[in-house]
Amino acid sequence: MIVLSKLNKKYGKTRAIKDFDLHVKKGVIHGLIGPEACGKTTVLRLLSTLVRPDSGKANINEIPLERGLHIRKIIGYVPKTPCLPKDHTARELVGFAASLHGIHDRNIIESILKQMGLESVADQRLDRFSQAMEKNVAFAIACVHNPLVLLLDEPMAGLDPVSQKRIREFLLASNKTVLLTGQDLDAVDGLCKSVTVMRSGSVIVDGEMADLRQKIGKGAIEIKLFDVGQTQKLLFELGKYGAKVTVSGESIYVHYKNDSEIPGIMKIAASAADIIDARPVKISVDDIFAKYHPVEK
Amino acid sequence: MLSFISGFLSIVYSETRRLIKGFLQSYLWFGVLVFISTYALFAEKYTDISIDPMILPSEYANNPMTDVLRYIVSFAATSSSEVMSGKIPTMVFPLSIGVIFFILFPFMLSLTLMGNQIIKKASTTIAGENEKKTFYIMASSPQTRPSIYFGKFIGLLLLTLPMILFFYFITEWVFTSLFSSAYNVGILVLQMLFINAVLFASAGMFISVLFKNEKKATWVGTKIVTVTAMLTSLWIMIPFLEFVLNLTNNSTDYLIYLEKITWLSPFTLELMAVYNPSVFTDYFNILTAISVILLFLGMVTFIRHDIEY
Repeated sequence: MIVLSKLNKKYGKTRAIKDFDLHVKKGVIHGLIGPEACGKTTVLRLLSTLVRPDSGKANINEIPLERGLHIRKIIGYVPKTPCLPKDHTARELVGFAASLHGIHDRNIIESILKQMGLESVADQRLDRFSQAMEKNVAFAIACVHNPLVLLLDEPMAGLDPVSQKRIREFLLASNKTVLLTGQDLDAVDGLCKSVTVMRSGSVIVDGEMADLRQKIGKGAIEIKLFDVGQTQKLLFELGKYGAKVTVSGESIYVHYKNDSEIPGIMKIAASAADIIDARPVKISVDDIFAKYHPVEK
Repeated sequence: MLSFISGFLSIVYSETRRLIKGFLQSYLWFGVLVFISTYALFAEKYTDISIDPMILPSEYANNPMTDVLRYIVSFAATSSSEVMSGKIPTMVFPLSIGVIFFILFPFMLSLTLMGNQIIKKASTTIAGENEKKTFYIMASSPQTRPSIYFGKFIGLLLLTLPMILFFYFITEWVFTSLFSSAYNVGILVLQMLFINAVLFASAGMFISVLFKNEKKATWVGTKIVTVTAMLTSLWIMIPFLEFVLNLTNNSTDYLIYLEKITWLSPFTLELMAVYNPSVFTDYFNILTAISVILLFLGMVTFIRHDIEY
């Protein structure tokens, strides 16, 4: 369980996070969503005790952050772009990380290397590794002591599809408390049970992923028409279908809650008007912000 | 607790392993240069004679060069009759002068070479990892910041042991085969080399936490060794300056202040301590205290650091 209360951190004059609250239940995969430089990484760095908060309280599994040594025993941390010493082999580095936790059992090291798909390259130096392979090594380092809590900074960034699938399966089967970051909801879809959306160091909204999806939808299709005069007709037909539609300039946005709705929407749109262009658009953090703070916008 | 100790030993091992490549070449240079400078002492003959201190009164009795100057003056005085009769005088050095030569050349050389190498490597320990952003592996492990800092410090010190031991054996060799064992300063040399290593390692690591750039940290570290070595060279020359100023009837008052400035260099204290064992304990304690303060300051600064990756 991770609980943060009124946490603040400044880098010089920049406030990285402001009065940040977070509650992650035990054994749950929780997503921390937000655009670049919104403070997601700072939250993970604070929890992994790499940086100290200026004020506020935080604890992991009821251990306060001030007891860094005990916190670090139960966490595993993977940075977004891990920088690893290139003159080591994967086995040496994972072995070193294990020894820092007092683990010297070779079987454990072998097992984690295998789990991360590194057994065939374990004796190669890291200067020959791709970014994805390095990230796998970082995962192995973070998981070698079987931590109760995993802190993952954009875990899928830079990973190849095979590794992404492996990590996804590993996380879903692990029963660990996981706090992971992503830049949009799609990045954590199918992985997180709950989510916190951040903007400029503050929480916009947090809650169960399903509830959030219910409120804001999964995504939208942006449609542009050959003749804007057909807009009303299209809106009428889509309205009959029950789709939620918004218009911005010459673009019509049709929101959907499930991918299976897309063919139906497109069929109605194509029969009601001449379409020049139709493309899916992701729900951005700004959209979520607008949804939850309509007056401020 | 056991896992903490095992983790700490892993840091020591990892740091030693990381630095050993860079040290191998230094061992070679250290061995060759120290051996050559020591072997050069064998070119002269030494006898057990004493020098009269009254032959050249000096305010700098603790400076080994004063004795060298006294010997040169006394040699010039005693051999003048031989020179006048057309003979070439044979220069036989007193044992004490041989010991001074040993302190001023091989010992000073080993102190500066060691200091330079240690500070160069020490200043890369934290700054290098900060720059390469590899610190997160250790910093997010169940090791405390002081244990990481101290582990790196111990790892670095271990690498200086071959140099310290080599010089100790060189000292034993010189004193048993060339000088009398009665003058043997082997243990003093051993202790001074050790405290020299501790001092420069703690100074280098303190520099290392102040800089985020490895190159800059190394530059500052090596410049400190250069400046301190220059101060000690100046200290060695003070009796000569006094001699020249007296010959030319100039005031030597400011030399006292100059000497005090040269005491800022640890090399000066180390040479003085080995040359004059009566002040050894005091100077050893001063150097130990400075080392502990630097180590503590570095550790506190490191604890307060935010780790980047």
